[in-house]
Amino acid sequence: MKKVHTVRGPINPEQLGFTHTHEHILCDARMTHRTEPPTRGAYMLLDDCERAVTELRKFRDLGGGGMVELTTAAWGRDIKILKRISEKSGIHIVATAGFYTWPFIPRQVDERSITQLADELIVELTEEADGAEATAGILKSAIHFDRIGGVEEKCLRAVARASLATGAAITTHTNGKRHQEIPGGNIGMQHVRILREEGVSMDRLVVGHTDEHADINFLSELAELGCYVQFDVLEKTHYLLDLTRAKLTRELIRRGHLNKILLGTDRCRHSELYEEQGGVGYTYILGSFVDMLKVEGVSSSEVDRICRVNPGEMLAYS
Amino acid sequence: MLIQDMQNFLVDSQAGMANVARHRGVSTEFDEYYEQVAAATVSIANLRDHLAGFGIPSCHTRWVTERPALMTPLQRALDILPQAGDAASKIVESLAPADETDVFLKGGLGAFSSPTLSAALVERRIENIIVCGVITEFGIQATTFQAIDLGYRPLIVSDCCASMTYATRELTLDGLSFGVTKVRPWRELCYNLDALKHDDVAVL
Repeated sequence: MKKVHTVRGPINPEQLGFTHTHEHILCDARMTHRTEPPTRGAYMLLDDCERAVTELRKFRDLGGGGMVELTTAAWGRDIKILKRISEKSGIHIVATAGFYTWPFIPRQVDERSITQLADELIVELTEEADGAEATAGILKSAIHFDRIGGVEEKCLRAVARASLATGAAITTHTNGKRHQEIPGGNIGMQHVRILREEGVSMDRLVVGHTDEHADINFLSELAELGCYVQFDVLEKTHYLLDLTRAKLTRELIRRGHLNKILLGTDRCRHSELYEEQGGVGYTYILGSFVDMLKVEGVSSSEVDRICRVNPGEMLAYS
Repeated sequence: MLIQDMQNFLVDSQAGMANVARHRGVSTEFDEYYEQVAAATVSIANLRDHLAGFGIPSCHTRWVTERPALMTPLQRALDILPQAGDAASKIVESLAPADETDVFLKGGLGAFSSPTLSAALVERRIENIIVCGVITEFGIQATTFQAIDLGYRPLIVSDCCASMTYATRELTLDGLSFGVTKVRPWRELCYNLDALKHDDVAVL
C-alpha cells in the first residue's frame, strides 16, 4: 500500500490530516553556494527550533495535522531536527529531497552526472537522509532564471529520474512572477516539457507558486494535464489578494479540478511566522482562508478534499 | 493641464484591461484601481472646468501603438494596447475633448514620448504643467521625470490620478513629492488658484 513518508516514518495517507503542502520550518538563505549570502533585509531564515514547535502546536490546536517542509539539504534542511520537532509538536512533517534555486545548488553538483544525482536522491527517499534514521518524502525542483537550463535542468532531470524510481511526487518552485508570458510558454510549462521528456506522469507534479501571477486559463490547463495546482503563497498579498485566490479556487472547482488543488503559505521568514513581528504563523489557512473559501461558496467537504485528501494522494508512494 | 491616457481601455471597467483581468479570473485585483479611476474621472472634469475659468488650457494624451513589435513588456502584458483608430484608444466620453486638436498620441509610457507635445508647449510658452490621469506609478511618474528633464515644472494632482492599489498610490506620490515635484489634491489647487487670482501658477 502507498504510504506518506514522514520524518517519523511511513503513515497511511488518511493519517496525515489537514495539511499545508508548501511550508518551511527550518531554512537559511545565507547558505548560498553561487552568490554572496544576503546580509541585509528580510531574507529567508527560520532557525529557532523551540519556536517552530510552538507555532506548529498552534497549527495542531486549530486542527492541523501535516506539513510538507520544502527546504532542501543545501539551504538548511536537517531531518534529525525536523524529526524531533515533529515528535514534540505532534505534526506530521514530510521532508524534501532535491534542489532549490541556482544560488542554492552546491558547486559539487556541477561535477556529478544526472544518474549520480538521481541515485543520491533515491537514497534520501528510501534509506536515510542527513544521517537520520528517517527519509525525505517528496522531491523538489526550482527555477531561478526565466528559463530552465544549465545546472538547474540537470537537477530537474535527476529529480525526474528519482521520482520514476520511487514514485515520489515532485514539487516545483516556479518563477512565474517574473515573466509568465515569455515566448514559448511560461515557467510551469517548462517543467512540464522536461518532465514529460523524462517520462514522469503529470499526476506526480505539483506546480508551485502558481498564485504569484495567476491566470485561470493557465491553471486549468495545468490541472487538465494532470498536475497539481498549488496556491502556496497565501497571505502574501503583494502577489495576489487572497480574495482572488479564493475566487480562483472556486473557479477551478467549478471547472472540475477539485482533486488537483493544494494549499500552503510558504512561511520562510521570522516576519511571516512570528506574530510579534507581524506574521500569522502556520494558522492562516485554518484560521482565515478556509472561511474566505466558504464565503465564496466552497463547501466544507470540498475544503476537506483540498486540505486533507489531496495532500495524502499527492504524497503517497510505495 | 495634461490629462493622461484617460482612454476606454484603461478607464472603462467593462473594457480593455478589465476584460483581460476578468478573462484570467483575477478581476478582484483591479477593484482598488477602478475605484480610484471612477473618483479621478469626476475630479478631473471638475478641475478641468475650474482651470478653464482661469484660462488654463487642457490637453490629453492617448497611449497607442502603431508598431506592435516594439511594444514594451508592460504593453505586452496588458495585451490590449490599441491602435489609434480603435474605439478602445479613445478618450472616455465624460472627458472627451470637443475636438482632437489638443490630443497628443504617444507610443511610450510618458507623455513626452509624443513627438509633438513638447513643441506645442514651447509654442505656447507653457512651462508649468498640471499632470493627472492614469496610471500613477507608470505613465504619470514617467511623464513627471520626462517633464523635469526637459525643463518643465510639473505638478501632480493626487486625487485626479489612479494607481493599481492604494498602497502603490501612496508609495509613488510620497516618492515623487519628496524632492521631485509638487503633489496636491485638486481642491487645494483650485483654492490656491482662487487666492492667487491668476498671478502665477508656478508658485503653487
